[in-house]
Amino acid sequence: MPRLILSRLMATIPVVAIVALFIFLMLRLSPGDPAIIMAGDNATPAELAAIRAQLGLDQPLILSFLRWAGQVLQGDLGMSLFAHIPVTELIGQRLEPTLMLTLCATLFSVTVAVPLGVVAGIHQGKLIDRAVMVMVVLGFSLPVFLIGYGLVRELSIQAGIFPVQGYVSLFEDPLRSLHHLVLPTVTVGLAYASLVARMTRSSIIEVMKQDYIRTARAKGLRPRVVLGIHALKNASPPIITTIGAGVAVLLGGVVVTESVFAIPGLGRLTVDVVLRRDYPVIQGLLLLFSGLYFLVNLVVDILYVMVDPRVRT
Amino acid sequence: MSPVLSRLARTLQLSAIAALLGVTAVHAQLHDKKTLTAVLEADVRVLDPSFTTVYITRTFGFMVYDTLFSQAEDGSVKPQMLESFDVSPDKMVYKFVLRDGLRFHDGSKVTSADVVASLQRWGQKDALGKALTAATKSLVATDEKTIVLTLGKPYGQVLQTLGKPSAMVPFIMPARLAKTPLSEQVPEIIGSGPFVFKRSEWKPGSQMTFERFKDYVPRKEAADFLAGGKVAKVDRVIWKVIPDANTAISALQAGEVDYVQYPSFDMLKLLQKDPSVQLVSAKGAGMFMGHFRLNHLEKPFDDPAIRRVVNMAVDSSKFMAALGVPPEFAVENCLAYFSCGGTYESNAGSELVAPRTVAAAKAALAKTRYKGEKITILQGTDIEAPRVSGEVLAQTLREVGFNVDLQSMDWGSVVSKRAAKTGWHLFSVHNAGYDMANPLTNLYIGNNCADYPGWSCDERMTKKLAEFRETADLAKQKELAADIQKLAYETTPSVVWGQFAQPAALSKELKGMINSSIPVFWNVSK
Repeated sequence: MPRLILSRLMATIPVVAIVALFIFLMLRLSPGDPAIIMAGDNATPAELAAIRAQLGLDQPLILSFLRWAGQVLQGDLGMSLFAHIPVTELIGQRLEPTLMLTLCATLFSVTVAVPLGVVAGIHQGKLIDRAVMVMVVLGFSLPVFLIGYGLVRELSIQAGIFPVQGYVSLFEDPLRSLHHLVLPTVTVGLAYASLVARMTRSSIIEVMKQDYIRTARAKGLRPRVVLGIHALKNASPPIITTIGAGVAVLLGGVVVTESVFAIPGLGRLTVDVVLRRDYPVIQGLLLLFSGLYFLVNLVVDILYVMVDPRVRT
Repeated sequence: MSPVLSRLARTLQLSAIAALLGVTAVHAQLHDKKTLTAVLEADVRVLDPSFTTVYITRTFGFMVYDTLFSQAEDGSVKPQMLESFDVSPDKMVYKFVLRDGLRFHDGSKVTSADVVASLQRWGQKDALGKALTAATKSLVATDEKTIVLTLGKPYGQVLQTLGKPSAMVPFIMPARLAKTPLSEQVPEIIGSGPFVFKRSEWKPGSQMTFERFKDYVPRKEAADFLAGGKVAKVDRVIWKVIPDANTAISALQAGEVDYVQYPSFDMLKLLQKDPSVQLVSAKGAGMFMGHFRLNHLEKPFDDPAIRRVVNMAVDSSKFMAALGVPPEFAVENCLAYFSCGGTYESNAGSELVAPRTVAAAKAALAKTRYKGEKITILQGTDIEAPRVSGEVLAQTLREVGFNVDLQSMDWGSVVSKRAAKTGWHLFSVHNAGYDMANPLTNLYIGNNCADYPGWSCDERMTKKLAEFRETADLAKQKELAADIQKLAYETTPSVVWGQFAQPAALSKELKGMINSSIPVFWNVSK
């Protein structure tokens, strides 16, 4: 296991370096100028030039890149051009809402989807299977914003049970935090749950046809043991992959959900900073996302090894 | 029940308990009468109001800072931080005396030295400020409360300039901060206005908080737009960033926020029927003006006859309909460059582009030297008005016979691309009427012959603008504004595509909200 982790970590270094270079060049070569956005409509060319110089945007590309890369190696992602606070602090402010939403959505999806998928899989072709599949198709097909607005209309405006928008930190008030997260979790979790339920169902159907399941049944094991010990464990690798990919997507920024519920998370931050060309923050965010993707993949690989001994060889 | 289902049921039970407990907290928040929560047009990205002309920064400035003069609803300029002021008979010397008891948020006294330093900083950045600075011989603090402005050459709009309502506003800040280099933003936000900015509670992109300034001494007069007594009647004002218009309105309907600056036009009918919500909208120069800015350096728009065809093709009712502006919030067929309802409103020169129809424009285009050159429109898609008006214009110009290339991008890219002298012909934008209502601050006329995207330049207009700047006589100013507008219709620095208000939606619980397109939160209570 340690060798696996080490080899994955080593493989990450060139990937992150290439990602960093690509991000930097892509940003600086695309149109847009933070000085113009900052100064407003009536700024003169001389004023803009002074702002660019003050922000260090007048430096040659290669010098700027080397300076930034040097900072990153020391753990410093620079300062936000607009908010004038360190990028790490700005990202830190936005990390908690996205992490909480991701965690809640993942828990919700797995809690709902895995049992539903298992039930559908073992009752393939029956009424319950069809009902689950209808729900899955609906969950996939309904746009996230429609689910969000619908929930807000019924449960917030009409019933007054949940807040319409906003985020409260878990460290500030845990109950209010969870209360604010219910609707966003369900909104973003439905599509994700549909994906996991579908994958679970397919895996269970596949596994239940295997010889060792028939053998287990023939040995007289109870159905719960057959399902829990033999079927689920062998069906889990593709389910873990799906959950892992979903977590990575959620961490990458659930922009629509964050916008609909006005959650100040990483997704909204990404859109904001791209629109205003806040280069240090965009660069920091993209580096963070690539790191998170790597981390999620590593966790998935480790789980694979844990549930499937064949992968170790 | 299987273990899995039992666990699921337990999770649902816990969520329900959490939800019910949370409801209590939400209700407590909703009934807080001393906190006003508002959703404004955008997040405040730049805090220094003498650094940018961005409107949200100007609005932020009015919360925190104060001004020597302020504009009343009727357009007149009234003293704000001043006890008194004197003007010499030849209108070349102005003496201003500060009110007693004025303090900055850091506890220090507001002195005449602070005023001089603030005006000097602002006078190097703002268009009107630069004009006043150019006409100024000296600006000195003669004692702790007195400032004397001596002009070196006639300048007819001293009070209007010092009381201008829109960006950049001559806000007063401590001298130590006003001395910050122009290329940098002030490091601290310390004003002497009715609210204190709580920097420690600022979450960029999420919310900012203001607290009532306990030492603020308001004027005795009643609040009148930006003039009069700025009495803060709530203890805290929170500006929440809710980028999604539907969510902002849902939050208003649920009582989570008290004020939404710009509900989208398609929601207005719904809101008009909601008994818990009131709509307020500005009139006259407080409305928005939609403009197409033309690039005079890019062929074939170097030809004034071809530029006039664009003006002729623009029927504002078509643009208002596409944007979904209800008729009561638009000015029908406004032909005034300096805003309908503004001090300098006139129709002078509009006959040059009459009738404004596609057929007339088509006929006029046939008489020009246009040979099918590509006309590039830069369309900002992340702001509703430029996006919709850009689409309508593209279609209209195609009907007229232009070969149109509509390039869609975010507003940041439009601003960046338009800085190049070639590669584009026009872009759409909407500006505050307060900015456009004066020939000197109208971006496209006031920047005549300046290095400003579009690069329109007419020597006759330069002369008329100089005359306008120098005269203090209102009748003469109106006459000159009409002459300038005639030149604008002839040379087409821009095309007005409509004048409209974007009403604010607010809770019926709010009392005393000042009806203005610049949201200010003094005089208002819950």
